[in-house]
Amino acid sequence: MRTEVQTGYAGEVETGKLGIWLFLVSEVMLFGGLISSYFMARWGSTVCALGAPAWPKAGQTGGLALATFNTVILLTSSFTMARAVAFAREGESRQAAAHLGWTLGLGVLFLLVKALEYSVKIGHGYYPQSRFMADVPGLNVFVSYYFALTGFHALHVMAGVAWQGVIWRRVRGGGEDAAIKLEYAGLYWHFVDVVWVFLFPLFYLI
Amino acid sequence: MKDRSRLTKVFVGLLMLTVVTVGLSTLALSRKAAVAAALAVASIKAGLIIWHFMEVRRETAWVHAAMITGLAAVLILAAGLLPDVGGRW
Repeated sequence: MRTEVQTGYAGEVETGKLGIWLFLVSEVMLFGGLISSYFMARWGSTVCALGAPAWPKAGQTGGLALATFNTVILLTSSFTMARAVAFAREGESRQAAAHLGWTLGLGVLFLLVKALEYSVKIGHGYYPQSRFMADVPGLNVFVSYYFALTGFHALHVMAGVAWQGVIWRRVRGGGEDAAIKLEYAGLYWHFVDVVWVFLFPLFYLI
Repeated sequence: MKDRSRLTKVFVGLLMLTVVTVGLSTLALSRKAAVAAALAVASIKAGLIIWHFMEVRRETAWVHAAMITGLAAVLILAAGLLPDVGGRW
C-alpha cells in the first residue's frame, strides 16, 4: 500500500521512503560515532597510528586480498540491486527477481568471505588478549575496533540478505507494490555498501 | 534502458576507484596524505553510490533534507574532534 502525504512545498513524498531515509540517518549517526571513535583511537596511537596499515606482517597481505575481494563483491551486489529496481519499475518482474537473487547470493558470499577472513585472523592470533597480542601492547585496541565495526557491519549485511529473501517472491510476482518494496530494500543495501566503502580503507589500507 | 547503461558506467567507475585506492596505499605517501587520499576516494565512491544507485538525484526536497541532516550531524561530530586531532598529530 503506497501512502503519500502532501508536503506543501516539495510536492508529494512517499511516507515509507521517508521513513527508510530517516532510519538511514539514524544509522549514519551510529556508524559515524563508531568510526569517529576508531579514528581518534588510532590517530594518537604510538603502536598503530592512522596513515599506514596497522596489521603486523603476519596475514596482512591475505587479509587485504580477502577484503578487496569483498569490496568487489559488495559493489557488484549494489549494482545488481540497482538494476533489479530499474527492471521492477519497467515491469520486468522476472529480470528484477533474477537480479535480486544475484544480490542476495553476493551478500551471502560476502559473509562467507568475511567468516574466512575472521578464521584466518584468529588463526594468526589476532584476537583480544591472545598471547600474540600480548607481545604488541596497544594493538588490542585496533583489533577490538576491527572485530566490533566489521562485525557490526556484517550484522547489517545479514539483515539486508534476510530482507531480500523475504521480498523475493513478491518481486517475482510483479506489480507496483513489489517495485516499491524492492526500492526500500535497495536503499538499505546501498547504505550497507557505503559503510563498507569507508571501512575498507580505514581497516586495511591506512 | 538508458538508466541501466548509466548504472553500468557507474559500476565500472566504482571498480576503477577501488583499484585507485588500493594503488594509492602502495605509494610512499606521508601519513596525512595517505589518510586524506584514502578518505577522498572513499567519499567519491560513496557519492556515486548515493547519487546514482540510491537515486538521490531524483528525490524530493524532503529526502534531501533528511540526508543533509545526517551528513551535517556527522560533519559537526568530526569538526568537534578536530582540535584533539590537531593536538595529537
